[in-house]
Amino acid sequence: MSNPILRKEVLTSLRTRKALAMQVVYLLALIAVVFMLWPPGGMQSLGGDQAQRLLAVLGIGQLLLIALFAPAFTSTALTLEKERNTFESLFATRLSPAQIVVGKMGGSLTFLLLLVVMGTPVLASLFLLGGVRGGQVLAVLGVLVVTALFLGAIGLLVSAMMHRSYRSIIMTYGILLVVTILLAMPAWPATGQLMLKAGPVGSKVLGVLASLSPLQAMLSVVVPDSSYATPAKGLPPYWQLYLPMAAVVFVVVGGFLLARLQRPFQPQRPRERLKVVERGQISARTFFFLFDPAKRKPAIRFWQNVVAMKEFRTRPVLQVQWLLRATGIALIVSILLMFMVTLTVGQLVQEGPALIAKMLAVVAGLQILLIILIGPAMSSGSICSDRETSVWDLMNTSRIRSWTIVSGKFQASIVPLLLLIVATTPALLILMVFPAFMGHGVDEGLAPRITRVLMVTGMTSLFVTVLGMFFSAMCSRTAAATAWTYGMVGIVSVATLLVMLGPDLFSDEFKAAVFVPNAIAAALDAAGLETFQQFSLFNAHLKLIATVTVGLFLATVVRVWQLRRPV
Amino acid sequence: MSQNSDIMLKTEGLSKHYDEIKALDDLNLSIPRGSVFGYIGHNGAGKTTTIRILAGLLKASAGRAIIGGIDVTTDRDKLKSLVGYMPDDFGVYEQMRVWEYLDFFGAAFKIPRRHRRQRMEEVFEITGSAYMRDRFVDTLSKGMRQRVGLARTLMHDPQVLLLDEPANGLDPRARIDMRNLIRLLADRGKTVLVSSHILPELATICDLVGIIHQGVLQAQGPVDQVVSAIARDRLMEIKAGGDLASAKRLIQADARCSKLDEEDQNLGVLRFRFKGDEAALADMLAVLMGGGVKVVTFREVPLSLEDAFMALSGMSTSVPDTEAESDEPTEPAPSSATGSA
Repeated sequence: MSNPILRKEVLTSLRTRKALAMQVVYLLALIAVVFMLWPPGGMQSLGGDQAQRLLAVLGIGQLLLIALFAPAFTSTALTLEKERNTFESLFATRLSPAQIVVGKMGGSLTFLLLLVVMGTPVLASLFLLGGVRGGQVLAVLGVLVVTALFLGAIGLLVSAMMHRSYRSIIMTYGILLVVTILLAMPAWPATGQLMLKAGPVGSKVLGVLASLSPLQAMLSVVVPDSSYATPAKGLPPYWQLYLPMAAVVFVVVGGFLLARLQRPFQPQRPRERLKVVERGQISARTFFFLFDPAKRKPAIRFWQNVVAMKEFRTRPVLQVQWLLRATGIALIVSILLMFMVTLTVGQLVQEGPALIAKMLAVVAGLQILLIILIGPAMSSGSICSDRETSVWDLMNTSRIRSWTIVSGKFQASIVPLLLLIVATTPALLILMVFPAFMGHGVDEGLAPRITRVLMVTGMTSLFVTVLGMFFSAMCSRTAAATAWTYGMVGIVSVATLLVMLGPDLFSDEFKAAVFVPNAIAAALDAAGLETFQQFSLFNAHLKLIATVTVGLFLATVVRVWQLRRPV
Repeated sequence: MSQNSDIMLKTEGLSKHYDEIKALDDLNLSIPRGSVFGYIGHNGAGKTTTIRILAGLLKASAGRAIIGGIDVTTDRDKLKSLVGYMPDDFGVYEQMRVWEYLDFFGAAFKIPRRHRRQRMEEVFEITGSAYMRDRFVDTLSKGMRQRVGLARTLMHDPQVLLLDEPANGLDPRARIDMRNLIRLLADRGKTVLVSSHILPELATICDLVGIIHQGVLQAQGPVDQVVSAIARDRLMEIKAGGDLASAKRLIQADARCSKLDEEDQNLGVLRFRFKGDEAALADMLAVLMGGGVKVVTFREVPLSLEDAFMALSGMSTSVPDTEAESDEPTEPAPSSATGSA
């Protein structure tokens, strides 16, 4: 191993107890899956259904593992160097940017590839059951390895462009969500296969985009004879399109990365806004702002939570002018979207209440997706970022109480999510007006359904915020807390939906149990979507999530109290 | 130092162990009200551990610390009002102006709003940082940031200031400013414990010093007393015209001269260690002159705090420690060179 960065990264990532523990847990999980799904007495149907089912679970499971952990490993690879002030030292050596990229990429992905290799014997065991072809297992391994490289390169590129680890992680997970899930969604029967309804050009574009999704590629391998397998008749399956396309994207992203690292140190933009507008002073710019960012802020009042005020003043996204702008944009976009959908589809007259129910489900799903995308970013750095910058010690020598810290951080983290719900709620309310407007009678059941949707979105906001704060209190690094929060939210709210993809793979009881914690499923149930109403998720979901949220909140309070005690 | 000499900060047998590592061992400090106590030690000697225990951020493994009559382990809330802590590297918030930063910490110390504004003006004046009021804290230079850090530490008007390496990373001008600032605060009645490894600076502003090495306090007391107690042999310098060989021979032959330190033939200068009082020195001078040495100057070189620190921590310096290099049986360094001033 002549590349010193690669050697260092591999050594430091593999020599920890955590790495060993993760390998053991991973293997045990694989063995448990095989043990649970292995046919009794090794007997199976001649069609090889059990082997295919096992292959699907193992393939998708390993893919999700890579999708969740590859960004966490690579998106902090360069930002951590920047935060530790070792980035410049790295470039002051005789190492070329290419060596740095290869070293960082190899070091970050070695552990994940090791996990893939460790899972190979388990995949090979499926041959004992019959019904699985060697080429199919090789295709699964190929998709896994290429996905690790593909997502790893994206994470590394984001890491090269960002300065703070947690921002890099958030950005990478955002891209990951789009690439893995959103690009694939138009191709799924569960979403009405929008791709087939988009016209000849639209369907081709959507087909190409779906081919970039590693999830779609894996589905086409493990469910080869289903409607998930190919974008259109006559075209090869998704995974055969995915492998070369992902390789091309990998090369292109690698090229961008190298170009970026040729000039790694960009001069910082000068800080503007040094000007302060005194309170009460009126000038021309006063009329351009509802809240002028340059206006001198008042001193903190006795009834205000000092920590919350500090958060609102220091975090750019929480400053009033940005909150208002974001809320305004969300409001306008949500209303416009509803108008456009309603008017262009033109089906309201025929379908009436049925279409309204679908639209309610779309808005509810959108709200939940936004909350689980934005929520962790708001809360997962709330406590550990103060610990990273030593501000925690300063707060501990002050007279601030633990409760003040927890409640202040909570307020600052939840406000953007509540504003988001408020901003998207008009889209829900418009649905109540349209039936009457289009000549249908008022749907008596709509208002309760909207209320239930809002209850689910509200509960999801609380859960995501408290979960982020919990990990922020438990982890000492913001990057780790952010990765844990996104990972957990991803598993609970996105990964559990995957049981829908194979209608025959899982029983209804299993699906119902898996869907209970899932906010998207609960929101769609609350919206009246039949697919989810059969599981009666709403009440069970609220009870479960409320209980977990309260538990996590109490654990966070205790942890913060512990952190503030002298050790 | 203030005439009021009641003890403001006291530790008794204070120890901190991390498994088998003793970060602090049986520390006994005694600092009078209104004095500046210079806390000297290498990196990792135990300075920050001590300060963090005193600030209530770390729990002692044994012993106790009392500040203003309050045990730091039992009444943390009162302690917080009494103590101002400035860490070596303190965090600042992005996107926050200096006055907002001070306002936040003022509110965190529960200073009423109307008093907070007045207090802010006072600390701006004391620290000379009023001109930075509307600057963003994270854009300030190191020197400016240290001033703001001190202003933050002073916001709640603490009686005791714990300053961990406040001059670290500052340029000479900023170091002088920081030094003057610390002295000013002591003159206003604050009790200051300041750690540093820039020793000459501490020597000029401290009423008392304590030298810590590997978790053990080696000496404490007024600077001159600590230095003289450590350096039991006097360092003498003789400048002579002509050949130094005869002077060298006479010095080596004299039993009172323990060690010949260095010589500079070009300047005609010799340095040596001498045991004896003023009369013995006069006698030595007579011996040299009687031996034909053309003495130009004959003087005692005052030992610096740095020399004392290096001697106690067992490091070689330009003026090496007699004990460390002589063949004579050695004695342990004094645990407390003098009583408190």
